[in-house]
Amino acid sequence: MYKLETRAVSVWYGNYQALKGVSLALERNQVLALIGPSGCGKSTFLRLFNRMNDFIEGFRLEGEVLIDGENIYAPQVDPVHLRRRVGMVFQKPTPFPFSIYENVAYGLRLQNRLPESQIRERVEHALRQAALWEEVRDNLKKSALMLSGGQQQRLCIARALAVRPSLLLMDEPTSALDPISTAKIEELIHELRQHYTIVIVTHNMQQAARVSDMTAFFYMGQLIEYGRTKDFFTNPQHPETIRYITGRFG
Amino acid sequence: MKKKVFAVAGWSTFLVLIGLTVFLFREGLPALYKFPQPELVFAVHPANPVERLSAEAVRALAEGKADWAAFGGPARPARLVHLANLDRYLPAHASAAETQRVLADLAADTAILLALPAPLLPNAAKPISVTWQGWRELFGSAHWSPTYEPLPRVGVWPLLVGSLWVTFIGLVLVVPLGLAMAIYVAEFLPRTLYYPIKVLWEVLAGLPSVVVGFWGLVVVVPVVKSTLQLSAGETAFTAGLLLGWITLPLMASLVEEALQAVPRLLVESSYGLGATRWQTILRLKLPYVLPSIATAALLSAGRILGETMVVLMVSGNAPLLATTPFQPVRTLPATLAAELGEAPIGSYHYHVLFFLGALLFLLTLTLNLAAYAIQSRYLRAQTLG
Amino acid sequence: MRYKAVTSVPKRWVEGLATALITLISWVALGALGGVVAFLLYKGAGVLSWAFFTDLPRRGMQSGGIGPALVGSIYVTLVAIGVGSLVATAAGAYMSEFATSRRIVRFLEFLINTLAGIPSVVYGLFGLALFVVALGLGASILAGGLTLALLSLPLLVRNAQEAFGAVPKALKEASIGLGASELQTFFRITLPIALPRILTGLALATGRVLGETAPILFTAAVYYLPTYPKGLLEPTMLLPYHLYVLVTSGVDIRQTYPMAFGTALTLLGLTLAFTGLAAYLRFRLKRHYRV
Repeated sequence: MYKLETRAVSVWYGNYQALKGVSLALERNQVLALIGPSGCGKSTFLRLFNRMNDFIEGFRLEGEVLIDGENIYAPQVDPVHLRRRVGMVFQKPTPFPFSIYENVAYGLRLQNRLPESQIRERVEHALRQAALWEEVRDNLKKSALMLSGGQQQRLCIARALAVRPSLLLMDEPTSALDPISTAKIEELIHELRQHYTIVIVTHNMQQAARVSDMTAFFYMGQLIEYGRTKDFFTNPQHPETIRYITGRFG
Repeated sequence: MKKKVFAVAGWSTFLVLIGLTVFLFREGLPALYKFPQPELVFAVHPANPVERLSAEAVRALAEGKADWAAFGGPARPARLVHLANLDRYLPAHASAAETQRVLADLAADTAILLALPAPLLPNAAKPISVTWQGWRELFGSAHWSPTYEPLPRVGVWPLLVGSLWVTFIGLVLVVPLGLAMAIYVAEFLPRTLYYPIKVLWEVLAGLPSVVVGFWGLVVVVPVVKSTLQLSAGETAFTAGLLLGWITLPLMASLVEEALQAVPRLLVESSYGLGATRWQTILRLKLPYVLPSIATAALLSAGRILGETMVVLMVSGNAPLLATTPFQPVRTLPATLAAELGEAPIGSYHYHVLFFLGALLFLLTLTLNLAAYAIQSRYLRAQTLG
Repeated sequence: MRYKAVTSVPKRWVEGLATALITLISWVALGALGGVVAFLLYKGAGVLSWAFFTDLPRRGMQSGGIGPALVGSIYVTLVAIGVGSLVATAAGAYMSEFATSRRIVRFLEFLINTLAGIPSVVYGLFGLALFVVALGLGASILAGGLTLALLSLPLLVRNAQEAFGAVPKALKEASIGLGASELQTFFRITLPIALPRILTGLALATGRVLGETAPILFTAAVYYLPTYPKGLLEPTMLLPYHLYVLVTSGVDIRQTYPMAFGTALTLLGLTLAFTGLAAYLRFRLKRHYRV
C-alpha cells in the first residue's frame, strides 16, 4: 500500500481550475519534492493532504486523495483529526508568542489527555529530532520569539513532530532562511526520512535534487513529469521539464 | 456547536437595528392617527347645531379668534370650559354634587364648549366629534406646545428649524476649521508630535457633552451675549459654536487619514513638476480627497444633528420658529430629552416624541447612508484608477 | 543655464501665511480644550474631597456630596461594559473568524456603521420602549446599563473585529495545521494575542459610557434619590444627569455652582482617565509589535 496516493485529482477555486487530473503515488519513508514555477499548483497539491484548502472560498475537489489507503475527503473523515496525523511546516517560521516549551507542547495539549511528564518527554524528543535540543535545553521557558530565524523554523518542525504525525508536509521551508540554516534543515530532512514520509515544495531545484527521493514537476495545474530524483534531473523526459530545469522559464 | 453562540452575537447588531426601527415606528406612528385626548369628550349646548369641529376650529373658538357662526352655530363667541380652567368656576375642594351643579349651569349657555372627561359631563350637553389630522398638526403648524389645553400643538417645524440652524452653524465652523487642522497635521506637524496630537483629538472628542454644555453655559454664553449685544446668550449660534468645536476631531481625523492615503507616486509627480507644498495640497491632494471631505462633512452633520446635552444647556430651549441663528431655539433631540420624562407612557405626547425620534433617526440615517454611498463609490474608483 | 525660481516671492509669502493660519487654528482648537480643563480644575478642585465623593447631597444639593451619583454611575457602567464586552467580543470574533462568507461580514460591517451614526438620544428612546416598558424593567440600573451596552456595541464590535484580524494569519494557520479546531485556535491563540487591543477598546468605551447623559435620562436616572442604590432594578442618581440637574434646575442655581464644578471635574477626571488609559495602552501595543 502506498503511503499517499492521488487519483485523477482536480481542484477548483470557484471557476478557476488549480489542478487538472493529477495522479501519483508515494511509498513510505520517501521524500517527495514538488517543483514548478509560481502558480503552478504545487502548494495547492501539498495542502490537499491536510485539507487546509477547505478554508478557501469556492474550493471544490474531484478525484481521490488517499493516505494509507484511506480517502481523506470521504464525508466521515474529521479534518481536525486528520491534521493531527499530518504535520505541516510553512514558508515563514510561525512561532507562537509563548515559550519554546509551550510552542512544542501546543499540539500535545490539544488532546488534554497526556500527563505533564509525558509531555515533557515528547517535547524533548521532538526538539532532538529537529536538531534544536542542544541549543535550547537550558532556555525552554524563554520566549520563542527570541530565537533566530533558522532556530524558529526548526522549532516549528519540532512543534509539528511532537504530535507524531506519519506524514510531514513542508511548504518551501527554507525560502526565508540564510544558507547555513538552510543546510541544517536539509540535513534534518535527510535524518527525518527514517521515521517520516515527507512532501516538500521547493522553488530551489538544487535543493530538490539534494534532499528528495522522488520529484514531481507541476506546470499550470498539471503534473508534467514524476520520477526518481536521480533520473529526473539527469534524464528528464518531457520537453517542458527540460525547459524548466534548464532555466528557460519559472 | 459552540460556534452558534458567536453567530448569534454576530447577528445581534442586526437585531438591534431592526428592534430600534420597529419600536420607534411602533410608538411613533400613532402620533399620526391617534386622538390626543381620548378620555375627553367635547360637547356643546343641545341647541347648538354644530355636530363636528376640526382641531383648528376648536382652537380658534378657544382663543376667541372666531365665533360659533363661522362653523354653523349661533353668532356668539365660544366659552371654553375644560379641566385646566375649571378652577375659575369652582371653589377649591368642591364636592361631586357641587361640581355637577356648576357644570349643569354652565351647560345652559348656548355658547359653551365643554371639553371634559365623560363622568363630569352634564347630561344635558350634546357631544360633538372633533377631528384630528395628525399629519397636518405635525407638519402644518409652526407652534410646538404639546401640553396645551384642550388640544396640544405639535407642529414640528420650530424644532426642525432649530436643528437646522444649529447644524448649519456647526458645519460652517467644522468644515473649514477641520480641513485646516487636517492639513496641518498631515503636512506640517513635526512627526514626533503626531501621536500626542491624535490623542488630544480623541480627548476632545470624548469630552462628556454635559461637561461641554456646562462650560458653555458658564463661559461661552455670557461672552456671546456681550459680544453680540443680545438679550440672552443662549442661542442656536452658541450651540452651533460649541458643537462644531467638539466635532472638529471627527472631521479632521477623517480628512487627515485621506490626505495621508494619497498615493506617493502622485505626490512625487507633483513635486517633480516643480509644484510647491501648498500648490500640491491645493491642486492635487484636496481635489483627490474631495469625496472623503464630503463624507466627513456628512458624518459631522449627523453627529451635530443628534447632539442633545450641549443644546439643552446653551440653546435657550425655546420651541419657537427662529428666523436667525441668534435666537433661542429648540432642537429635535433636545425636545426628546426635555419632555420625555414628563410624558406619561402611552399618551399622545409620548407618541409624538417617539415620532420625533423616528424623524431624527431617519434624518441621521440619510446622512450616514449618503456618506457611506460616497465613500464606497469613490473609494472603488480610486483604487481601480 | 540658470533656472529662475518658478515660485515668485509674493507666492511664497502667501504660503507662509497659510501655513501660519492653519497652525494657529489647530493649536487654538486644542488650546480651548486645555482651557476647559484648566477652568474646571480651578473652580472645582477646591470642592473635591473624600467627603465630596462619599457624602449624600444635602440642602437641595447645595452642599454635601455626590456619593449616590458616583456609585450609580459605576454600577451602570459595569452593567454596560460587562454585557457589551461579551456580546461585542463574540460578535467581533464571528465577523473576523467564524463567518462563512465575505458578503455576510461586509453586510454586518455596514450595519455597524449605521448603528454608530445613530444619536445617543435615539438609543435612549429605544431603551425606554424596550427595557423600561416592554420588558418591564422600569427605570433601573439594569435598563440604563443595557441601553448603554447597545450604544457602545458599534465601537466595541469594530474594535474586537480589528483586534482579531490583526493576529497574523500565519499563526492561526499553524495552529490549524497542528490539528487544532477553529474554536481551539480562537481561544488558545487568537484571543490571547488580541486581548490587549480589546482591553484598549473597553477602556475607551468605559470613558464614553461614563459621560453619556441622553440614554440614561429616561432609563435609569432619577432626579433626587439620596441613598445608595440597593439593586439592579432600582433607579439611581447618575453623574452626568446630576451635573445637568445642578446647573439647570434647582431653586437657586448660583448656590449649587460649587457642587456643579466639583461634579463636572469628577466626571471629566474619570473620562480623561479612561481615555488616557486607552491611549497609553495603544501606544504600548504599537511598541510591542514593532519588535
